[in-house]
Amino acid sequence: MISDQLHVWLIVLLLSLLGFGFTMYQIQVKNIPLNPTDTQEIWVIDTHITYEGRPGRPAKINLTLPEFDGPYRKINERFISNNYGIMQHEEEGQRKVVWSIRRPEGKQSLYYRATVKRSNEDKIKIGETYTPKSPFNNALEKLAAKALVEPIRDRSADIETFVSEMVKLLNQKNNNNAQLLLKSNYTQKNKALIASKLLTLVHIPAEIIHALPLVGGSNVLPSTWIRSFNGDKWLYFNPANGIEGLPSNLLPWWTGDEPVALIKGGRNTKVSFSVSKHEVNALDLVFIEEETLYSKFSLYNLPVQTQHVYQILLTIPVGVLVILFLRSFIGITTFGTFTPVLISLAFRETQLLWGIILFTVVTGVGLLLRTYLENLRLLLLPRLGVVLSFVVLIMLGITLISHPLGLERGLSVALFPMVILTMTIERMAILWEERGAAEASIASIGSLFAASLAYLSMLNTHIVYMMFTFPGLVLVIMAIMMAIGRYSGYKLSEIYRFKAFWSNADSQ
Amino acid sequence: MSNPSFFNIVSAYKTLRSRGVLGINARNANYVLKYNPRSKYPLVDDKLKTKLLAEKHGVAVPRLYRQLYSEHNIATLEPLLKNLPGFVIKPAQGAGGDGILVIKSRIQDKFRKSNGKLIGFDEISHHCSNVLSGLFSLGGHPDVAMIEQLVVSTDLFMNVSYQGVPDIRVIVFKGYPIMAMLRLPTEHSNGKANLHQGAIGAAINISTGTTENGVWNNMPINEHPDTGNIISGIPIPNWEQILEMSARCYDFTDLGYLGVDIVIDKNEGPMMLELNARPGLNIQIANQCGLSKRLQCIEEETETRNTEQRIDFIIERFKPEKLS
Repeated sequence: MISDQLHVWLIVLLLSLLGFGFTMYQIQVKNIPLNPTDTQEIWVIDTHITYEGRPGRPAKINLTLPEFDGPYRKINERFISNNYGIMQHEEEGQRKVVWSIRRPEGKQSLYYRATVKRSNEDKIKIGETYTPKSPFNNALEKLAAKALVEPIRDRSADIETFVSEMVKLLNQKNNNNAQLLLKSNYTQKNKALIASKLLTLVHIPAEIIHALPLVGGSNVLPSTWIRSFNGDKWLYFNPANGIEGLPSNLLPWWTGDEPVALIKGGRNTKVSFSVSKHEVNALDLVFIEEETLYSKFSLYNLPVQTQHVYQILLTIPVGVLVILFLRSFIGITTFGTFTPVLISLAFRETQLLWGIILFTVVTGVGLLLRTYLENLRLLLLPRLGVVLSFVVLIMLGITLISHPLGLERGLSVALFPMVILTMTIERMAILWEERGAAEASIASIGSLFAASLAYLSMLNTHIVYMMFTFPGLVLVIMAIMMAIGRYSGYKLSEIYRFKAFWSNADSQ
Repeated sequence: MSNPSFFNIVSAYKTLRSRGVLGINARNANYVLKYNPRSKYPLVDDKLKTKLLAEKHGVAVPRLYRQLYSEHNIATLEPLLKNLPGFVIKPAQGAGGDGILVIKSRIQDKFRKSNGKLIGFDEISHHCSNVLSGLFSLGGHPDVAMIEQLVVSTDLFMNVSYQGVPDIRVIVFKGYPIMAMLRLPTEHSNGKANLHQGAIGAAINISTGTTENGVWNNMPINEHPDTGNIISGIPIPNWEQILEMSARCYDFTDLGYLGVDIVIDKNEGPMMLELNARPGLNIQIANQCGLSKRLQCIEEETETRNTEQRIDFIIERFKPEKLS
């Protein structure tokens, strides 16, 4: 008994874990939205490289590609060029693309297009680019650097405070040491370069990094930052004021003081960035991204017709769950367990109100005929046959009458609801024979009520979306059904049925 | 307290639980599914099988005159029925007492039904063909019609029943009869002894075999609505024999949770009418007593006993003075 109980609960637990686990995987890892109308921002970044080729000389263009392990993720990227050989490789932890051509003529244009989206987690790449070597060659510079750095060392507690103090000093125009080191060149880039050298001097791994602000525009200029790896994550510092933190709209692109694109065998090189922002459906986004095994086996890759069928099929467990709930906890009488689910499927094609009217009219007229046939003492099967054929005629009549009146709903009587209605009449007729009109009406009202509830839950767009997008939920529903299967308490209807026990106890 | 609010529902739920009332979910999960092997269901769902098996094990049943398997056998009935004063036609796999035709007597070539109406042989043959086509059977599949002895009710219950034949329902758990009631037909139930069709269920003290108050349409009652006579205090004759018959039904069906229906014939005494593998729960209302405690009491019994010992145990264990 107890081991039975345990067995069931273990399966319930297993099914829910599997179902929820798969669903959480889809939500968390695959970023599948919980709401079908969710949108996500994406940015399209075009890098346009132009240069003039030298006649008769080959050209080689080496472009550093942005890092996608920080706050942004690549959705896809394209390299657009005419007659160029393209090769990608990695160099000192940075991805690079090399375009090459044997005889470039005149003005040349190359494009690199990246589509990116924001990501919440940082995939941390350990800073490996740092190689300590003596950063200053000149003795005077060495002295100035030491003089600049020493007092900060005493005043700072960690890398953050050290760097911000240092950058502040570098920005002081009246600081002679700073002036000497910067050679009076107060550009962002130079400040960042000197700062990273100073950090190297005190054995703090640091480098300069160029980041592109993702703001819409045709000529977006990258800005330069200092970054340091504190053993745990990258810290970014603004070389203008020493404040730590990379603004969220910056895409880190390339490190070092070299330009993003290096060209051999060309002149008048120009690199420009343009950025445009778009809103796309978050669900579509999942499938825009490069094809993975997951998206290949997704329901969304099925033919639309098949998708439609599965949208219906996958909601059936929800409808059955509603019926189980009504029967096990409330105690509503219905024709069988699954007839109400089938009726609610029929409602899908007729809509609720029209479905109820149709159901009532057709079964009512069908039953009247059956009662009349009862007097003729026909055998059971031929009698049912006559009733079913009559139902077809009733439905035909309804359709013919409603069409000229402009009631398009009348035409929605498809083959499927017809079969379900006739089946229901058969069941109802048998119940009528066996138990009488009262019980047949109670069961048909119960069935209609259960079917309406099941219909409302099965047609709810959110539920349809959830079931279709996260089929793992079927396992969760199975778990709930199994749990209901172990419910041995009273139904609501039984509390009334056994009223004699408690109303009596009350008066005693 | 006639119109309960949500809080009353909770307290009503607790009251039911504390009084040991067995609900449908609990009956199915803890007793029917656990003690009744599915493979034994045909023994009770088919009344013909039940009858033959009961006869073999010495449990008295109404005599079977004939069974009909096909339409063309119906015509051969006429000479048989002519020689019978009364008879009953029932579907072997009928549910809830449906499709039972009771003929009390003959007047020339007409048959008198239990409600006094006269019918001809054509109506009897139509009824038989309905039975054969499965109109009354569970699931509607083809059935067998049984023509059997008409049970003449004992005069004992004459004052407390309306037409029909009262019968006794005994709940037998693992061979121990644990609760019983007397089902009395009313005008409302069309002379049928079926509670959900409007018959009265009167409690029978399982130890003494005397009737107590009852239930009608789920509400307690102590007098018959048609005759106005008090239904309690009637001693059932041969009570121990009835308990033994019911207990024996467990031995040949192997169904641990069983409902046994017994009628008392004026001349031949108690006869087993039919068995039910999913007996209803209204017997609790009739007895004003939940089944759970008695079921648990039997579940705790580990000693193996034969039929007689089980009856002695029950009579001793459920003596009125021992029950609170």
